[in-house]
This record gives sequence, structure tokens and C-alpha cells, in this order.
Amino acid sequence: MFSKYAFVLLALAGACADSNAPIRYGETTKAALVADKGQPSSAEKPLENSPTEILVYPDNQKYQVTNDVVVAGFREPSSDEKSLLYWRHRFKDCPTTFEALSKRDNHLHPEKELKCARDGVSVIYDPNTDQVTRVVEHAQK
Amino acid sequence: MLKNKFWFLLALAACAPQTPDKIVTGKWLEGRAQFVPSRIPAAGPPAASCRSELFTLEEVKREALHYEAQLESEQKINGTWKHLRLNQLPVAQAKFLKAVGTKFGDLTEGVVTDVSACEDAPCIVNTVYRSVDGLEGWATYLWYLKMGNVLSFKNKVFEQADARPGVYKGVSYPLTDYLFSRNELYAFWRMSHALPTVFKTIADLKEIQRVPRKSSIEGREGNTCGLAYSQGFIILNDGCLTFGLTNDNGFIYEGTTHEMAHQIDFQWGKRDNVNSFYYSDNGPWAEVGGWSMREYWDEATRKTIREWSSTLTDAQFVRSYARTSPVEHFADTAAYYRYDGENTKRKIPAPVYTLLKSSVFEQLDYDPVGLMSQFESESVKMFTNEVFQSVANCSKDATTPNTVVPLPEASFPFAVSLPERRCLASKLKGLVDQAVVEAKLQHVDGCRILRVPQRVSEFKQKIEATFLAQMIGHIRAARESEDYFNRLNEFYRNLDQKVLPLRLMAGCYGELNERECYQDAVSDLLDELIPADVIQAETMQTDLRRMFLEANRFETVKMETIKVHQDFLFTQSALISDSVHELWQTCLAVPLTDHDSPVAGPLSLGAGWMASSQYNCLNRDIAKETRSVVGGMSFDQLGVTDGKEGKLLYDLALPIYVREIKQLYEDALAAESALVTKTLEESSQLFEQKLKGDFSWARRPNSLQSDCESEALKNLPNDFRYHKRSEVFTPRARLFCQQLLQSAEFATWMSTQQVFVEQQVLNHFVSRIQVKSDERVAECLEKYPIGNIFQSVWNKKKCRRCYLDEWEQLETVAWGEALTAANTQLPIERSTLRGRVSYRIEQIQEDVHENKCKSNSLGIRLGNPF
Ligand SMILES: [Zn+2]
Repeated sequence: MFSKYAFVLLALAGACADSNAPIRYGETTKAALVADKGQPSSAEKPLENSPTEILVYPDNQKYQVTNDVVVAGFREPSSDEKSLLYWRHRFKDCPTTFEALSKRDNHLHPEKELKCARDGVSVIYDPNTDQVTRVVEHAQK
Repeated sequence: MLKNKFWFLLALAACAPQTPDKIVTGKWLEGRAQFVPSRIPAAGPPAASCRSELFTLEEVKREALHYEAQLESEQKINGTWKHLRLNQLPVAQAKFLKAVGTKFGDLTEGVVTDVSACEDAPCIVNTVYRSVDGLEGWATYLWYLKMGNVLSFKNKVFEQADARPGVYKGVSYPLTDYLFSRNELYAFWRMSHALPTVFKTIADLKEIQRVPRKSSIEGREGNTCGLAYSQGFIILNDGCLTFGLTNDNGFIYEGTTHEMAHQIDFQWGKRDNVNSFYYSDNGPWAEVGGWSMREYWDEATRKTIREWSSTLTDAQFVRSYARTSPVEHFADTAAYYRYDGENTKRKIPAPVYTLLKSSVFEQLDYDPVGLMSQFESESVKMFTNEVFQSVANCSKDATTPNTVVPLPEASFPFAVSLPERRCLASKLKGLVDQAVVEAKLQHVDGCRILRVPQRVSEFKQKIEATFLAQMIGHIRAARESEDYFNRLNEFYRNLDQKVLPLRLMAGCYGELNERECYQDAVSDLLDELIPADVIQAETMQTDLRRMFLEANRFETVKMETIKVHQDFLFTQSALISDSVHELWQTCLAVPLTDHDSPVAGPLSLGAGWMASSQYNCLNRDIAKETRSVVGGMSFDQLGVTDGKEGKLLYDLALPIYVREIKQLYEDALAAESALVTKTLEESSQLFEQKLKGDFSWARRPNSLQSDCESEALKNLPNDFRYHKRSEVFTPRARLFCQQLLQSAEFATWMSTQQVFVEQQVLNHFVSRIQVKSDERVAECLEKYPIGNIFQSVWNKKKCRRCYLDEWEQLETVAWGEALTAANTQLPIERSTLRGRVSYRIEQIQEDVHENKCKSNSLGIRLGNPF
């Protein structure tokens, strides 16, 4: 089991609406993120004894912070982005890889990750529902 | 007619704003009947004593023909299937054959299953099975009619790696190893009676296939016995098809139901969630299951990690496997809820149980107590009219043999004559005995539960008490109102009419609170059905209301309404197919481009590919065309005019429409795959011809590989719609270009081209400068050493001056050497070309300034001494 602490912070509802500077994964600091997005609604520790924490924002948007630097972001796909075709089309010129995520279970098909490492973007695709379920952004390679 | 009067009154009800005649499915349903299992009339002994004994050719065929008739339509399916003309078959058979397609039986190349003697669909299946009596064909066909998907009868499994039919995981199997056994077909038949309606509405499920006997599932661990695919398949191996001590139990029931529950989960996910994932992994199910997802990016491996965990304890799951994820939790719990009701109820948390009970199981329990109560309410429903008739008959003529023990006087709160009590006693006993017989016959669990004598007597007691209470109510009410028997007769006639609640439910479709809307409408209806002036006894009123509500529970009627509308759509299949073909052709005619980004819509192709021009055309118009098809549906000259019914039909027709589009896509994809394979085989030759014959595509010295690759792709045929060209052909083009660029022919050609020679000279030039620069720095540092921080301050500028001294001369020498190395006759001018490398030369110089004539040997940066 992973330890999980969640704390409710004073949510600055209006403050998260505008995004001023785009997040540069691997560079943007936690302080800059919070200044831009507002305080997260909760935070989680995905791993024991690790400096990594996940800041949770509304609409299931999450940012992963390690040693005060934002290293990755997770968000829901928008409507067009839910089809894998959209991404394969968008990654037309990016060398992509298609990997199975850690085995989900036995009866269904494991989620897959279509990665464009060059742009630091990958999408999680669920072959059981034919949908892109998550967009993951991280430092470019 | 009384029925019309009800409808007039119903029209005033708050949640039934439409006049009843507008509901086309209501009109259609009026002509339908429920299937009643065979039995000898009440007087004689029943033909069978348990439902399980009714798995006979005669009964299965009777049931299939019943559903076939229910689904018949004037709108016949066009086209042919082998030698059969589809419009000459019942619509249901035509649909079945279309669903089976031409891939059935032994698909081994060269093997033909001769079905030319067949005149109906079950015969096709029977031919493949080499059936002795035809039961396999009729059971398969019946399953299709009730459940909407095909029990496969061919020797190929969905997504098997081996292209050869009859070969699975490298082993050859006879066709018979892929066919379901008679016992397995029995279990499917039994499940078609045991499962609630929602399992009969899985629109996306196409086929259930058997992995050949004794084989494990390809690509999975040995303990995996079944897989559910969103593409509409379930595959099962021996492990998911095992029996227990009898054919009425065993993991075949849980295993199959589990996989079907996954399909429900997919379908509800699409229906409920804006994000179109599973039903179970968010919202109420995830909540009652205490599920949450841990999600993070592993920086070391650069992989995304996603793992589920639940706050429930191990003991709160039906088995450990259910703990895997919310999706498995849902599928497993649903399966065990149905077949292991008692343990499930005991183990799982009440909120999980309650949610499953209302969402999937129509408020029914399947533990012995729950089953007993199901038998009771089914008996009450079935015999209530006969109880009433008994009272009516005994009041007219109470003649009964004196040997019958009369009901005691004390049973009644008022005086009843001895002959009447004797008459009622005789009727009551007969009805109670018959109720036991019916419970065993009607319900697949009847014989199992009522095998225990104590349960039989308990059941009898309860039924007897209920029937007696009804009798008392009838006698009292009849004494109060002379019209009572007539009016109640009407009530009972309506009680069994599925049309009434269906109309109410259709009128509530899409309401924010459907349940409340439906219950209000039912309540208003009952006010009219049970007029207070006629039935004064309050308990009687309450009983009748409860009886109606129990027979027409919200959850049950909701599922039935969906099923009825799906069945109605089944009869309208020809309309849908025609529209699908037309739209496909229209979008095929749109000029092929892949310029635009794919847009969201009802169609998604999973990991498939389609040119965006065609994909966007389909996605833009599918909804519109489906709406238009629904608008064109009719029955008995009544069209779809009611908004809510139209919406319901649209919601149900859309997945059918999309499924048919996908079928056309699959066919087109298969056809194109053949072309792609052929083109791949020919590609090297084609590249050779186009790229080697003329090197004019090679213009930019720095991007030769990528220019070569795009030139190669450009020369391929231009009409691939369902394959991403770059994915399919790039590996081949890459290899070809790598070889080509290193070939002697290409090198010879390059040496004749001014642009390449220039580039070559410049490359030599820069590398010569680098060598000379390094030499010079070494010399200068010897003269003006920078070994410590003080030397750095002192010698930095001197070192730089020394380095740049007579630089022009250094370049001239380097240029001369470069020209010699290139060994060319072409006119190459330094003055015109130097600009192209000046930034590289500056970089070399800057590097010296920044890193060599600047810091000391200890690496202490002067600009940042701390
Ligand atoms: Zn499963």
C-alpha cells in the first residue's frame, strides 16, 4: 500500500483559470506552478520515501513534482483527443513507440502507451474501450 | 373499451405528456406475446418437472420460433447469403446469417461446408455440427434471438496469431474442438433464462468463441480462461466452461457471465461517462468499491505507472481476483451475485450489494431467501387471477365433495357458508400445489431451491396465506360492490400487459429523475385502474397497488423498455443497413486527403487508421443519418413522432449504426491489406526504379536520408485509406535509402554535382580549421600559460590575441588543403562559399575564448568564483 495524504487547501477558485506561462517540464518550479494554477485541491505521495509528490487539480489534472521541479503532468483528453487516430495523426512526423503498460489484469487487454518522446508527450490508450484515457506530458528527450 | 379510457386518463398524468397512440413501439408491442414454457394443462401431470428438462429439440425450437415470430417485420433484409435469398427468410434468420457471415465451419483453405440443402438458418449450424437431431442449430439460433450475439461455430479464434484456421498456438485441432458441446449449449440456454434483461441488450457483443479443447489462451498465463474484447468478442477456454456436480452449476456460469459483464461495463461506460471509459472505474461503482488510482511517471524508466487499489479488505471481495481492478471487481461480483447469491450477500459490503442489485439485477436477490421471494411474487402474479376466479366461481356454485376439509370459520373476519369454505379450501389447495409445480418449471433455480422439503412447506405456507388474504379481500369487496368482479377482471387483464408500463417508461426517457417520473406516472395510472368507489377495502387497494408495482418495478421495466426498443430496431434493420451503405459510399467519394485533424464523433477505430477526409465525413454525418433513419421508422402506418421515444430509439440505434459502419471498415481494411502486402513486396523494385534512375531528389546535402525516404513514399500508389503510409512503408524505405546513399553509384553521381562537391570542400575546410585551431591554442597557452587564477587574469587577453594573430593566413592554408582533398575539377570559390560555414568557424573561435583562454586548469570559473 502506498501512503496517501490528502489535505484540503484553500482553493483559490478564480486563480486557476488562466494559464500564463506554459509549463516546461523539468524546469518549471513548484512555486511557479502554484502561482500559475493556484493551490492544488490535494496532494498525494505515490511512493514511500521518495521526494516525488503529485499535486491534484480539478478535472483530474495532476502534476508530478520531484525536488521542487514539475517533471510530468497528467490530464484528461479533450473530445477530439479521445480517439487514438487523432494522436497517430498528430504524431505523424514524430517517431513513436507503442508499449503495454504494466499488466492490468488477466481478462482484459493491458493499457497501452503511445509515446512521442521527442515532444515529451504520450497518451494512454485502453484497447478495451477504444479510447485514449490520459494524456501525459513530461520532459522532452 | 376500457383500455382506451385508461389512456385518456393517462394522458393527463404529469410525466406522460404524449398521447399514447404516438408511441410506435407501444403499438408494436401490443401484438407481441411472452413465451410460456410447455406444460400439460393443470388437470394432468406436468410434462416436465424442472426447467432443466425442457432443453429438448421440441421445446428449444418452439421457443426460437416464438421469438422469431416476435421479431418478424414487413421490412425484409435484402441481399443473398450463399444460395439463400434473405428477403425470403424470416427477418431474424436473415439477420442471424448476416451476423454469421460466410466464415463458418471449417475455414481451412479448400474445405467447403456444403450447406446447399439448407433452407433455414439453424440447418447451417446443424450441418457444421453434424447434429444428430438438430438441437445444436436451434439452440445456437435461440441464443442469438434472445441475447443478440452468435455462439461461434468455426475453427478460428479472434485475433489468433496463426493465420491458418484450425491451428492454435501451433497445434492443429479438429473442427469439433472449436464447437460447443451439448452440455455447454445447455448451459448457455440456461443462462439465457437465468440472466437479467441487461445481459440481453449488449449491443456491441458480436460473438462468443470457444478456444479449442485442451488449449490455453494464446499470449496469456495458463489460469486465464476468458477474454472480453471491445471489438465485440468473448473467447473462452476449457477453464471457463467447466461443470460442477450437475450441469446446473460450475464455473461455466460465473466465467461466461463475468466476461459478459465486462461487455456491459464497456457499454455503460459509453452511455454514462463524458469520458467514455468504463462504467465501473469512476462514479458510484468506484466509490462503493473504495477504488482509487495511483498514477505517476517513473523518471528513471521514463514509463507511466497506473495502478488501482481499493480500501476494502480481502474478505469483502467475492474472490481475490475481484481485487485486481474496479473493472474485474464489477464483472466478478456481478457473476457471483447471480450464481452464488448467499455467499456474495454475506461477503461484500452492503453498498456494493445494493448498487449491483439495483443497477444490474432489477432489485432481485439470488440467495435462497431472495429466490424464494422471487418464486412467491411470480406465483402471486401468475395465480392472482385464478384466485380471483376461484372466489367468483365458489360464490356462484360451491358444490364440492364432502371429503374436502373446509377452511375454518376463524380464517374469515366475517361469516362464510360451509359449502363456500369447502369450495375455497379445495381451490386453495389446488392453487398452492400448482404454484410449487410452476416455480420448479418456470425458474431455472426452482428445483434446486425447492429440493429442500422444509423450503417447500415454507413456500406453500406463504403462498397459501397470500392467496387466502386475497380471497378474503375479494369476498369482502364483492359484498360491498356488485360491480366488483367485473371491474377487477379488467384490472387483472391489464396487470399482465407489458404495454402499459412500457409506455409510461418511454414517456419518462431522458427525464432528470426517471425513477420519480415513472413512479408518479404509475401512481396516477393506478388511481384510475383501481377506483376507490369500487374497491373500498383499503387493504385490498394497497394489495392491488403493490401487486402492480411488483410486477412493474422501475428497474425491470426500464431494462425491458430498452430490450423492447432494441427488438423493435431489429425489425427495422433493413432501413439502418441501407442508410449505412449510402453514407459509406458518400464518404468514400469525398476526395482523399489526410490533411485535417481527425474530429470526435460516434465512430472510433481503436488502433485502426482511416484517412481523415473519410473519417471526418463519417463522424460528421453518422448522428444526423441515424436520426433520419429513426425518423423514417414505422409500424402499422404509425411513425416515430414522439420526441422521447425518438430519443430512446436514436440512442439505441446509434451503436448499431456505428457497428455496421465498422463492419464495412473491416471489410475495406481487409481488401486494402492485401494491396498493402503486395505493394510492400514490390516496393524495393519500385524504389530502385524511381530513386536510382534519377537522383534529382537529392538536393540538400544535410538531409539526404529523409529526402530519400519521402521521395520513396511519394512514389507509392496514393490511395491507401486504411493504413498509415509512413508507418507501413517507412521501415522499408529507410533501409533502402541507407543502402542507396552508401552505394558507389550515388557517390559517383555526387562527385559530379556542384552542390555536393561544394559541401564536401566546406566540410574538409572546417575540419582543417579545427585541427589548426587546436594546434594554435596549444602554442599560445605554452607562451601565455593559464595554470591558476592569477595567471588567468594576467594572460587571458594575451592568449586570445595570440590565437587570432594572422587568422586569415590559417584559413587560406586550410582552404588549399580542402580543395586538394576533394580532388575536383569543378570551379569552387572560397569568397562565395565561406559565408555558409562562417558560423561554424565562429563557434570554434568562441570555444577557445570561452573555455581555453579563459579558465585555469583547476576549472575555477572566474565569472562565478563562489
Ligand atoms: Zn475479467
